[in-house]
Amino acid sequence: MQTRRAPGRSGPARLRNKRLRLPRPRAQRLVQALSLTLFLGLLAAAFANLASPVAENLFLRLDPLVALGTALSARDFPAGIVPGLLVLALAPLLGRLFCGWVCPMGATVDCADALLARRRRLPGSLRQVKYWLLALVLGSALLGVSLVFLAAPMPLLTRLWGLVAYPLAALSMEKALPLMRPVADALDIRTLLFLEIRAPLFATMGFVAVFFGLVFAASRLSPRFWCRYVCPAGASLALLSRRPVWRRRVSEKCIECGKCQRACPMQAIADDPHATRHGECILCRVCAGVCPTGAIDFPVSLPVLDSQIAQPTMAGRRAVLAAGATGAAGLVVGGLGLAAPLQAATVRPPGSAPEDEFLSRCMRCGQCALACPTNIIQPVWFSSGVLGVFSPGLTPVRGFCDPHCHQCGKACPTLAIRPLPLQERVWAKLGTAEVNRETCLAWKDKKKCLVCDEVCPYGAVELKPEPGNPVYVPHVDEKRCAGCGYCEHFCPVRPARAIRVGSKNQIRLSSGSLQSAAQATGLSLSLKQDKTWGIPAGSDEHGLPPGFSPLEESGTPGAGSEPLPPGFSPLEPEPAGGKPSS
Amino acid sequence: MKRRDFLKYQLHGALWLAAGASGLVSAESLFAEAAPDVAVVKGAPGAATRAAVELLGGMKAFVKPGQRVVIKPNMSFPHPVERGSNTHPEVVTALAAMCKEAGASRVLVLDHPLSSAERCLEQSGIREACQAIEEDMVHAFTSPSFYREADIPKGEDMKRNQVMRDVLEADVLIAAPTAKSHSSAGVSLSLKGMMGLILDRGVMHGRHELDEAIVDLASLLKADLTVIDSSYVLTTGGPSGPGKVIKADTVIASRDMVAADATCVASFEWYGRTFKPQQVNHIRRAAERGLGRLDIENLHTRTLTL
Repeated sequence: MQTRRAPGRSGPARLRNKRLRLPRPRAQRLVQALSLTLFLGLLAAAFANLASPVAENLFLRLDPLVALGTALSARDFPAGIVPGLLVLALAPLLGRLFCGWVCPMGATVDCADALLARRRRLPGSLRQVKYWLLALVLGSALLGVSLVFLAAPMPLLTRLWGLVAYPLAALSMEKALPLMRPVADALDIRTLLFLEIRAPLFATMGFVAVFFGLVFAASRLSPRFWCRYVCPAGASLALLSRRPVWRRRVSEKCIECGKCQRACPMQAIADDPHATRHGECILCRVCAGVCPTGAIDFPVSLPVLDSQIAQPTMAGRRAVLAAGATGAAGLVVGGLGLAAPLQAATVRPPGSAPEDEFLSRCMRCGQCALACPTNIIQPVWFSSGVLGVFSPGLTPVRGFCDPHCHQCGKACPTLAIRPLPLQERVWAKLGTAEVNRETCLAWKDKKKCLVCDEVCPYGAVELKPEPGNPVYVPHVDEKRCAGCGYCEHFCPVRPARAIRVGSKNQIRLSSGSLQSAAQATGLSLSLKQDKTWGIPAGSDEHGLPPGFSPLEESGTPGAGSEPLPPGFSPLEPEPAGGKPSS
Repeated sequence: MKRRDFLKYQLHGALWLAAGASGLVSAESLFAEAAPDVAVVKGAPGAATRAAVELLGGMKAFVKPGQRVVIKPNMSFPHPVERGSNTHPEVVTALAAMCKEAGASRVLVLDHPLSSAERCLEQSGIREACQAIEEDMVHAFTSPSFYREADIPKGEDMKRNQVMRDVLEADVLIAAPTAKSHSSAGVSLSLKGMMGLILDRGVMHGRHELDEAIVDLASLLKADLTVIDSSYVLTTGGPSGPGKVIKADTVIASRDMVAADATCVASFEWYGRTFKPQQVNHIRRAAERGLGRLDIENLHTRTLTL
């Protein structure tokens, strides 16, 4: 990692100096590594649907920008964002400790830095970018539009690991498993033999990969480029970290050699090496490690008078903020214009809030998508408007939405998707399926199929006879259809399925009972009800249920028009018994 | 076939049925005789399964020591047994236990679920029941890595599909379907049930003619032993239900998939009426293509009530 390299570069000095305090950077690295491990572990638990003692979305909850942005845009304080608010509240005391010690985005960037980082002098004014982004996000949030997804670090990182890295790892494991099969088979190791690895794939994976490629490539410009210049969550902490209680102090032993300035990954040390830009300092203490005279330490000091606090480099912050807010407003209005029609056409996961509220809460972290056991939840591009980009939609071609499952509701920390008890979950009407009679095998080709009826858990597909058609054809009973997508998922017609779920008549509530709302509109979404239909006796042209043919030979005048296959030798009608009366 | 012959065969079958049902023949002498073509046993699912297989000569007649067995029940819906869409767990455990007793080296219970695999295995009760016999026996594969491309040499319409590799590698295949109606194939018994061992069953509806494709598949996946669980016969609303369920407490077994299916069709009402096996198109085609016999009236059927 970068923190190791920095002292390493001043090799001889480091080795000769007995007062070097290496343990400090080590402690930081250790905590950082633990934090990253925990993040990855929780994400893996969510990915594999394993029960975890800690909330799988803990790190999303810790993101200060998620907390601020969601609170403003949704005008709500769901319990899920409290940890993020706490991180903010602690910033006046601990500064950007979160960035240096906890944030797994910082740790991921550090890893990239360790491989790629170079040091170039970049203009200090570049740091303003993150404040601009913060202003943009908060400004639009005030207008009720959440742009948190643009740059909030935890949602972005969740997408990198959860929607790109893990799926690719799972895919390669799935591909590698058969190689181990002969061994497992010979030794009858069934756990290995029958190990099934879920390898979901997600839309926008390529985009996320390229985005992070750029984030990592920025290491060539400076270490922690993202944290220094871009991260608006870091910016929000920086604003509150002007004079933290735990902070860098430089004693009179300083010989102004400038090593610390060069080593600081955040460029937090001013031209006068005694002074610190605390808003930039992530308390990694690399500076203390490289100081040849041991002049730097990090005591806990009261934030009263301190000559070592550098003036903020971003002159006229208020002006910047005002400009940012104005710019945000303009951009949001423009965005809304672009987004029109801001349609509610996307089929959302069960328990999703009404569309406007949904978009004001959803931070596009992908946690719901990665937790979905069937891969039906996919980030969308622009099907719900420009501002709905990357939000979760249901893609039944990839999976079905199991009426007993609500992993997505459990995953969402901002209540864009409300967690529902099973009783309610069953009543979540996501949309309505519609049969395309132009492509349906039964309607168009008059072929036996009816898989949609077979798989529908709600019994919403009814098979009815159709004049002139020897097979029964599917009809969707809209009162029973929950839009779960089983029919579309299993429909054999390609490339486009002949039965598809649209958002028609979806029911989405901010609060209250879905069951009551559904029943109020006359819906009957039960998994256990009996179908009122049976195959009606005598309703096809032979008076027979599907799959059966008449007993009489086709040669007999007046008998069934369905030709018997070649080589068929008919039975004569029986005198009594088996023949159905039609 | 002439009318006279037909009646003769009917009588022939009826006599056998009468002999078995009347209990005139003791169990011991039953087993001593030549194995019947079809065994129909009324009784509790587990015991009836055992008795039916014993009537056919016992599991040793099908499974040799060291062989690998795959049992294919219906367990692709997350429903309890009373709904009639899944095979009774006791039928599956009886078969699995008999296979182990016969010396099978590996017994697997496999299906390709139409819903969450986990919930199907749980709700059907089959996984839990089989745990008592051996760990890790029951699986519902959805990942393509468990399937292998296979030719269907005798396929007329469908000539290829991806089949569960464990099925292709098995020495013995046992079909253990539940008796149920099917909204497009008429009934879903052992022949139709083989669709649960392939990856892409959609093509059987879309690209192919369903009835013909069922026969194609059964020509490749020809069960060595068929045991149809007719404990709860789903006579309407199949294959998933809900529908009208008849509690018939019957098990039908045969070496011949077609004969077992045909006997099952003739034994119960479907959609509230009675049918001849040859009226079920895919069963008729299976017989026509030489997969087995549906002229059950000519077959040696032994019935037994426990």
